[in-house]
Amino acid sequence: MSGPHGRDDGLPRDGERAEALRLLSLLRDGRAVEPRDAAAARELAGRDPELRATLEAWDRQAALLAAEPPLAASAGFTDRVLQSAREQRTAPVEVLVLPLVMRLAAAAALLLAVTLGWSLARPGVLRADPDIQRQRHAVDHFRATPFAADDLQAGLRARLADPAFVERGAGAFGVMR
Amino acid sequence: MRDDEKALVARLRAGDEDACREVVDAHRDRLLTVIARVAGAGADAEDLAQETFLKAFAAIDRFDGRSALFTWLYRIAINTARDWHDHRRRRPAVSLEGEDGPLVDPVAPDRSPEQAAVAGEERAAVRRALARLPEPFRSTLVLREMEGLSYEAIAEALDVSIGTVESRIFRARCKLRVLLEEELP
Repeated sequence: MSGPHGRDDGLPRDGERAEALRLLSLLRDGRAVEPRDAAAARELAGRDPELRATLEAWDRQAALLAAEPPLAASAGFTDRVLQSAREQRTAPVEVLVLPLVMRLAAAAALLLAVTLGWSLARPGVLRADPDIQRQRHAVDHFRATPFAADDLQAGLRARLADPAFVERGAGAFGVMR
Repeated sequence: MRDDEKALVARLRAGDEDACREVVDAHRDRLLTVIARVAGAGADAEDLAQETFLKAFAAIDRFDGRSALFTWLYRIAINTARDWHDHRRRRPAVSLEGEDGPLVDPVAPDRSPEQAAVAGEERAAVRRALARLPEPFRSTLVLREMEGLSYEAIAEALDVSIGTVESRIFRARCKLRVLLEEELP
């Protein structure tokens, strides 16, 4: 549905009129418009009663808006603002620290809940398969030092160079020369 | 930013209460008026103006000086008023129609009581029409037609481009005409 001025938002349906009005809005406020475009918009407004009516309506509503009296703050407004500003400045414990404490408490509670949940979700005892247990000893045995990364190949090569080792334990681990 | 304003901002940052008083005294009435127009009837404009100043003082370290201090204050004021208006629209308690101020003009010496009544009705109608004008058109038109700000200052206050200001003012004028004719059949 459209109003008497074209579309519901008051813009003319006609593109030429709409563009002229846009330029006339700028000209009303002293904005820079290409002289040729400004002249064309003014010329159109001069011969188009609808455009003229719109411009008159704009004048009227601008006058009504400008006539609205400005408000004045009540007595003591400035003092009230300054008092509040003072209170705001002197309340850092409430404003900053308290939320920080609350955030830390929330984080601690969350950590506790996750840890507890994890513990409850895990099986009570982890029992490795005996074969895995044996392999773990083998890994420990072949590791070059207790702190080195598992390089079983290197560990095995080093041990195989020792005849006593070969004699003593290679059979137990199934190592063939 | 002018040198005297730079000095004022430096004093604000240092927490100088006299500087705060200077700023409040200089801008309170204009901010109060803008807030009342943008937030609409039912708003406690003084509360919102106070909130505006407190926000400004708390955030003064973030004022970068690219705009004038008063346009920065306008920006905070308009955002505060819009927030209030949006919150109110979600939880309407009373009409948002423009009702602030007297509906009948005080009788001017050159006006008959009938003429004054008509003028009062027109003023009430423009307030209602303005209250119905959607954002961001309302705040843009208020800054232009009621506050007389330049397009550049409006762009700074609303943090938009000049082209956006031009477009909003044009469309706001067109929309307000329709709304005003509905209010004044």
